Amino acid sequence: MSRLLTVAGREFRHTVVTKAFFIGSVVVPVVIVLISIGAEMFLKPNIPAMKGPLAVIDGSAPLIEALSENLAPPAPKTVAIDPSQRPEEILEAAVAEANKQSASNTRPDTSQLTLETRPASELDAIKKGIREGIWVGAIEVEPGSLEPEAPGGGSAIIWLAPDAATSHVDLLTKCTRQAVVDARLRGMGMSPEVVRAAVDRPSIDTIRIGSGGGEQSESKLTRYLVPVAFMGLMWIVVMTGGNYLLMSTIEEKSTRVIEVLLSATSPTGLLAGKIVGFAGVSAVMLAMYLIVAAVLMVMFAALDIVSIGDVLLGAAFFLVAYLMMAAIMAGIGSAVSDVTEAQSLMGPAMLILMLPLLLIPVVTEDPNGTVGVVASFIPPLSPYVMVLRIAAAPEPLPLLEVLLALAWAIACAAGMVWAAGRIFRVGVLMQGKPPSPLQLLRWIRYR
Amino acid sequence: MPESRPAISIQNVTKRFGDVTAVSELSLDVPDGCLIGFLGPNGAGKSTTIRMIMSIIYADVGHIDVLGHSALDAKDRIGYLPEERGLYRRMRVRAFLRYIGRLKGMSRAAADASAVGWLNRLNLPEALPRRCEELSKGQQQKVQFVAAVLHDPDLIVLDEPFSGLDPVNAALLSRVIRELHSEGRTIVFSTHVLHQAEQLCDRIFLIDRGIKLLDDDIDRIRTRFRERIINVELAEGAALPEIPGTHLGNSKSDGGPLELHVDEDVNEQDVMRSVIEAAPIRAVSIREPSLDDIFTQLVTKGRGS
Repeated sequence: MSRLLTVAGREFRHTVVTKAFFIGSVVVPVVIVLISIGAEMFLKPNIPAMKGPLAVIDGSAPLIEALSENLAPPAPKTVAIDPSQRPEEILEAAVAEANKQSASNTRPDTSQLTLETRPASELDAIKKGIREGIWVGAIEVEPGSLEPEAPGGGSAIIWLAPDAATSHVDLLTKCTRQAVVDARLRGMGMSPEVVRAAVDRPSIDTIRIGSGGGEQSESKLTRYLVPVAFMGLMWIVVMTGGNYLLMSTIEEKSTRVIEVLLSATSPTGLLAGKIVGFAGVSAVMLAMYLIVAAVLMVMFAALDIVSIGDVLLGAAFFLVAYLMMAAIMAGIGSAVSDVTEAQSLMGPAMLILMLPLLLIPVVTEDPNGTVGVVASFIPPLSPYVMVLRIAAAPEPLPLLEVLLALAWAIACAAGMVWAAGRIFRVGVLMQGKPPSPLQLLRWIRYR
Repeated sequence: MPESRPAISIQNVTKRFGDVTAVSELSLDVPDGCLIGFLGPNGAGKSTTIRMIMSIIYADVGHIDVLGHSALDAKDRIGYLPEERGLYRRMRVRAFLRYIGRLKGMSRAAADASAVGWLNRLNLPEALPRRCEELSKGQQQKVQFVAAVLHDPDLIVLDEPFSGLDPVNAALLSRVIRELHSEGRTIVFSTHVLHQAEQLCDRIFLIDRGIKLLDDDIDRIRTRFRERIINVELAEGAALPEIPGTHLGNSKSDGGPLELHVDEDVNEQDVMRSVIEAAPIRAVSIREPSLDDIFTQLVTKGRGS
């Protein structure tokens, strides 16, 4: 046991206490948090204000009125949070409002913009004034465009200085279009605000009626984002931990230090130590990302998105997924002599290991469908698919099914680790051509 | 007085790799405290035997006891320098030796202290804080030797310990091996360089194609393989008359010493006395067979050619 811990300790220290690990597993999550928190601060664009007169060529009173309304700075809006709302609803509302606010933050300040109607005969002089910076620009709406049935929806020209900001172009384009529509509506005796309110699409709340009579509301966040995030995180962490184990085994084999280690401990003890050590490495990575997730969830008051039970089940399946990955990587690492050879064996393995990612749309769409249920019992897919199903299922999965899948996955992981141990003890002393899959099977039976 | 328990007891061991029999029905006792050389041509089964002694691989048939235990249980009392040597390139020497010491059951402090002592003994104290990849090949080999003896083992197994060493460092290592032997440790080492085995060992184990050809004390081997030849160097212009019970193996015109082949029932000492009395000589000696001769003779005979 002490040897196992010694091996595990070395693998852990010599992986975690490195610049590469620090950057990959500590700096990156911290940067993600910083970017998430401070995106506004770091990424806020510098948008110049629109100052001065804007000419409206041959502008009618309804068009000027509509343009004035649309170009006026928006009033600040406060959104009240309903305490009775569920966390994911609050989160969605907050995200929607944040998007709106973000959009308004990119709108140029128009508080010092004035509209002036000018005849078409002055257009050339105004163009000259635009070039000289006297005028902000000019809007020329083609005659007939304010008619309800204007051909092609009408048209307009916006004249601007060559160095006009893109945001100015976008705002004037959007406001001119909207002003023409508003003026048409007013001409028809309709209120643009009323019409906008009438065509505003309703929000839909999906509530699934549970088999026990309970009601479970769902959102896109819980339906898709959370399961994919958790499974993706598990896949990345497990794959990274397994990759560390692979590289460590190849290094020990290629540098021939393996025989020194085997003179001090058994192959099984060595492999067990490596698996435990890199489990610690994976746990550190997972912890870093979970801390990031927790920070974000606290920020958005969304801690209730996942239950403690789901977290514990996720941890159990994470461990199983890691053991399966470790077995695969240890088997490959011990069978090859260098990284190039490892890549040839990693190809088929990666095809299998990528399957959980390919199953995401199918399983999240129908967590209890045939594909999801069957894949829950196929190693090494089972832990990933189960995590996906647990997170995506509108109702908790049947406990018996979860426990059965977990027990089966543990048994499979144990079998894979055992087989990897058999391959490891033969493979680590072999040099030369990498074995065929048939030879690997022979090594498992080798005395 | 009962004989002490052998340090290594190999009983009827066979090891196959697929269709190849690497070691066949091998039995060998290595006495406690002896310095034994494992000799044999390439692919003879030396390293396989050593790996089985170290329980790195296991025998298909037979049983191996090391220091009175199964080999696995005795690992902490065995030091091992494998033929395929290596270090963690990026690891510092101190950390590497500490790691090996910890694997051998030492405390961190004891491993550190022993590492310092051994590196000083091998004139390599400056290596301690350096990364393994920064050391020369010879320095790396010394570090690997330290890793083998760091934990003060009772049995030291050295597989080709001199390969890659320059003559100065080979001499240093020979001296250290002798010192370890004189401290009462059992030492097994394999080598292709027979004169090193001849100088160091008090026992020889010769294996070829997995079959034991020889296992005995080096003095007894020399006696056993003595060719009953007496070399005679005559003084200038002298001639050697016929000595009863002998016949000449060569002639004076060959340039070297005369070779007197002694008949089976004649005492070699008596022949030497007769030679001294019969003619003026510069030197007379009983020719000792070299390990090279014995090795070649046995391997050739074993292969039936």
